[in-house]
Amino acid sequence: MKKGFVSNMERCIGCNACVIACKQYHGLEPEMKRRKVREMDENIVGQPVRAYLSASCQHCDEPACMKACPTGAYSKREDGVVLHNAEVCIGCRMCQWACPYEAPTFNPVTKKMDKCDFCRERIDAGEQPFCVAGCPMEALEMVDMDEINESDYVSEVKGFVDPSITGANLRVKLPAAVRQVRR
Amino acid sequence: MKKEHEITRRTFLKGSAAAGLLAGIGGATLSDFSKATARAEGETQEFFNACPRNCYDTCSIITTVQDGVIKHVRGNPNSTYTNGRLCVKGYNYPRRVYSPDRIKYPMRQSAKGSGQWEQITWDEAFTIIAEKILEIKNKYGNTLPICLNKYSGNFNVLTYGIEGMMSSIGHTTRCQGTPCWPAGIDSQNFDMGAILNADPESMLKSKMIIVWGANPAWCSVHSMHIIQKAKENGAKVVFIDPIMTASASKADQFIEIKSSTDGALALGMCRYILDHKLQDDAWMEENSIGHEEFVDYVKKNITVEWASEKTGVPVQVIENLAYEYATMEPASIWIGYGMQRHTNGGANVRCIDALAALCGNVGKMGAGANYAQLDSWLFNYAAMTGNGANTDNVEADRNININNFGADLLSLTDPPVEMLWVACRNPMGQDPETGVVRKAYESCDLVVTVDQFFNESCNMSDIVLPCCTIFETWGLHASYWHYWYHGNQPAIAQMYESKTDVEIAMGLSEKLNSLQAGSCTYPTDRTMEEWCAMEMTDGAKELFGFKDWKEIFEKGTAKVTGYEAAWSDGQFRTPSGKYEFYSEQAAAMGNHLLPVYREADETKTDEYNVRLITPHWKYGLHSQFQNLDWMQDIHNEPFVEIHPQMAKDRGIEDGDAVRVENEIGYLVVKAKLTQNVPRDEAVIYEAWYKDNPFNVNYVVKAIPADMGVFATGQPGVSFHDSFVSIKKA
Amino acid sequence: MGHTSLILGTVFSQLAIGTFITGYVIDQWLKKANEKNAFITTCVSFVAGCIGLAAIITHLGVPMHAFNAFLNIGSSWLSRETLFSAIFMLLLFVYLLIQKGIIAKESKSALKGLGCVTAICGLCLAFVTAMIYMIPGVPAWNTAATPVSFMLSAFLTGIPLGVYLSGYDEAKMPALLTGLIALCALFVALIHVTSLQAGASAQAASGYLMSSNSMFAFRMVLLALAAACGLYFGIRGTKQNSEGTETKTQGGTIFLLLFLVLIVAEFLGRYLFFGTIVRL
Repeated sequence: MKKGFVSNMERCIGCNACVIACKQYHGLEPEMKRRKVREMDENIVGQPVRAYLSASCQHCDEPACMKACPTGAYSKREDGVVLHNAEVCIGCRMCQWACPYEAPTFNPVTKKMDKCDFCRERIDAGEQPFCVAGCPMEALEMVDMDEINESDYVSEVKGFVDPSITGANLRVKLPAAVRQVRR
Repeated sequence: MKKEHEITRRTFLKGSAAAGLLAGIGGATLSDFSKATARAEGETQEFFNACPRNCYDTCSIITTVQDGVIKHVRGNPNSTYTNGRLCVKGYNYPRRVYSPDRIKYPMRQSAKGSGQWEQITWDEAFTIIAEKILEIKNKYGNTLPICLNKYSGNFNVLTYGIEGMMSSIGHTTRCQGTPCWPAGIDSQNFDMGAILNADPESMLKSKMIIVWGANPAWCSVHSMHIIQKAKENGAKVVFIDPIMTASASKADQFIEIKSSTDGALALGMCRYILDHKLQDDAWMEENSIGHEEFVDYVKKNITVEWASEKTGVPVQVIENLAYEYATMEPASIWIGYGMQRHTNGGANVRCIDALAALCGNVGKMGAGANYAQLDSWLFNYAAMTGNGANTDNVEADRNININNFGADLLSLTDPPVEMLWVACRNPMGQDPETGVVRKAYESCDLVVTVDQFFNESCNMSDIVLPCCTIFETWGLHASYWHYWYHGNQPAIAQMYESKTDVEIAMGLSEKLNSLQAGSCTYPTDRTMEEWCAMEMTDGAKELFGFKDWKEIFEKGTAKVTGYEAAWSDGQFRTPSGKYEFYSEQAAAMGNHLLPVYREADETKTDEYNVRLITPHWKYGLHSQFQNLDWMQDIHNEPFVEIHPQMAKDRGIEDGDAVRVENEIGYLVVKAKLTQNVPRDEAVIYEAWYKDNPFNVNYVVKAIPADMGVFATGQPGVSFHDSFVSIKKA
Repeated sequence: MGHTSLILGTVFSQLAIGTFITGYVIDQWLKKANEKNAFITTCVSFVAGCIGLAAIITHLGVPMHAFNAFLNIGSSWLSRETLFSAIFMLLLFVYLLIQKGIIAKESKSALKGLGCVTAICGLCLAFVTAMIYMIPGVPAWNTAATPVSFMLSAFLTGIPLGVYLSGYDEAKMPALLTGLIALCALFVALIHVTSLQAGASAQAASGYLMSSNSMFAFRMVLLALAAACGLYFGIRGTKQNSEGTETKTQGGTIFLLLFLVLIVAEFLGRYLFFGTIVRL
């Protein structure tokens, strides 16, 4: 069992509902984001389209945050979820630097870092993470990386960080090409 | 004794629009209660709310409240349309309710636009307003100098209390009509007798879906989900639009059309269909009048080559599209409101309706020429009760065009407008020709605005009154697209000194009567719950199987059934009872009898020769939501989208400041180069950004559309027919 | 993001290391410093170290919990930097006390050994500090140029200050060394920037950001100046009498000037380092 996200760019419309759904669910400060939606190169599937990729923490196989954190505030659960322990955190932001995705986010009130925890309380209770449950296009999925059919997805996306750097547990479905009639 | 105001669908549309909301909250930041997150102990409750915005999706919401504070919101899974999910705007609600920018108490400005505000009490506010109303009454013998500008910032049925309040004072000047959709409404009224779309959830049964001039990814995300699902199930999805939108990016086929030529495409398709005998003669024979005249018109005047030349769409593509539309059954067309915001918008909708009718695609499951509906608005409009004091010396309200508000108001002299009441609307921000609207505001002695945030309209007001959010009161809600009917209950106490519009009406009524007995007939002694209890019609209760209206709160929502395939009974609401290709009502309004191609008026000039399209923005609903700091964190600046070719011709690079200008004004915005807009058109999304004077309406003209008067009393606005020059700033 | 504190912190930390090592070598190995100067040199080194440490601690979100930073020495370079910082400052402080005779009066001879350990610790500190920045997420940092330039920085700033404070009067060697190191730093910077510009998009963006910044050119000028000056005096010596024989040097002023030029160059360099971050 290795938890990961699937980001289905074929369905994703880049609306950022996932970002805000998470933000309100976890009561984050206005400047904080556990999830980001990136506008991708419009030629990503050949002819121009509007394409977006939503990603939070990739709960990597080799988390750069865990390696870099001086206080050992990061840990990785057996199911792969990478957790941040605010108790020992000193807010040095090393994790944010080290993470190729800049997934950890600084909390200006507690002055400590914060990061997607896969909605651990929800998933431990058998529910979906809030971003997955909240996406109006059902474009996000929580998957077991050991069970998915890798050929259905890609892990590398042009314009996005090379996943092999940290063994990112994000799989992506690229947008479908559109038959276009342009003037 | 005046006759009780009769509510029909037509009068509803002719009346002013929805309510606004206002409220004020103190400095409660999220950090104040972030400690009380999901992990904390404390009494947690859930409430049903409904998003009252003017939006196709009108979601049913489940609000989680802990210790009297909203923790988070989610979509109600009991509505299969809401599907348990909200949109990016909806999820911002907790921040909106507790925004530090919310208006907290009544405020008075020393002079319009001065920014010098002082807090006043409700009593002081009501006194100022009541005294002005009575002064007007005494001076003129009527209250026509009081103008109401209200639309759809809040579609809670109880916001019709605003109209009720006005009617209770006497006859007033009303902003009549609607900016959004009137041309298309008229068209569908001429063709079918009413706007009546098939349940959008029926699109799952469509084999082909054409989305024509709509951007559901940004404006109706739940329908976008349905369309995506239909596509994944094998339906062919075609998007026709001048812009490669986020929605069109999900199509099987995207057809870029020259703006305002949609009618030509539809007619070209009709020609092909007739040439290849793909039309449904039997259906037309049974269900329509004028089809022979229409067919004759097409055969004599329309060719596919002509259509291709007009629209910029290749002949082959038109032919394929026509073939598929006529043969892939069932095929559904979604006619977007953006598409009809041209001087020939109404005519274009008639052509598309005709295309659907030609193929017998009206009335079948999974088919239809779908635009909007109001059949699910099963309300008594009790809050709109208004039986004005009988001291008037006039017979009726005076109507001005909501779409030409500024100029119309300034033109009134007999009597002139001295007081303006603005609610559920932001005319200073949203109306075209901002300069004229500003003059109109300045010409009024007293401008009262009821709102939630200090937007552009508030800035030009004398008095601002705070209203509540939907989480602080009762309500009943319907959508003009899906068929779910939602209940809304107070999740938290009213914040700061905010009041609902009906409470404001009651308070004003009480004050007026204390100064001059009998000067206002609006009831003053009901609770919001009592008001709400009066709104659900008996028909609705019967349909839902309720004995008491409160049963709606068992699931938060209930479905108005029977509309899976609109017009399946063939009972069109036209004079003939049939689908009218040939419409005398259309002709009586100065349009052609038949759905012919009408060329858009020429609004382009030599100097201002770039069409400016100003669609809805994804992070806001007009001037709502984009201003919230959570939304600003995602995106915080306006921009103009231009094609790299257009940019190159003007020496503009990505990120450069660009001057967008025409006869009425100019803007300076950042350029964003993209191939997803036409080569010869520019796109600026309309929105209100926090602490930013940006307003696209400085360059948008109030050009009337060809239709709208028949059903809504006033023509629509051709928002997308403004032309500008684009230069490097 | 509070880069100022990191710029200050790392430059002062490296200055402390370089100054200490220079002073230590001059005092304990070359025996060319008087007691007073030697002590002042160590003091200044210690103060620089303190400033550096303070600057870095202020960068933390929760400075009061700074001690937590020791907890992940197993994998975190930042944790290791915290450790080496602490040990270096502690050793430096003890060295200072012994040097002044405040403690262990009899063990003055131990200074040589202690100083050696401190010096090695300092070098490790500079190295470990650089390793913090070897992260794939910031391609411009993830090159050999980072540890090389951090190490060079220590000596670039430390040698002239150390020589000046120690009152070391044989200028040729240290001037030559300084000049060569400045030349090295110059080449490293130029090679780094050009190789970045030839790289993938994030690298290239960093490279162009760097080279288009006027401070980069200014730094190159300063380094070139220091290199020229150092090499000139390193070969020629600082003073010759009319007979052309070597006389006592008056290197003091020259080294002070070299120090001032080079500390500015290093601040600029570090400012550019943090200011041109382009992430993957």
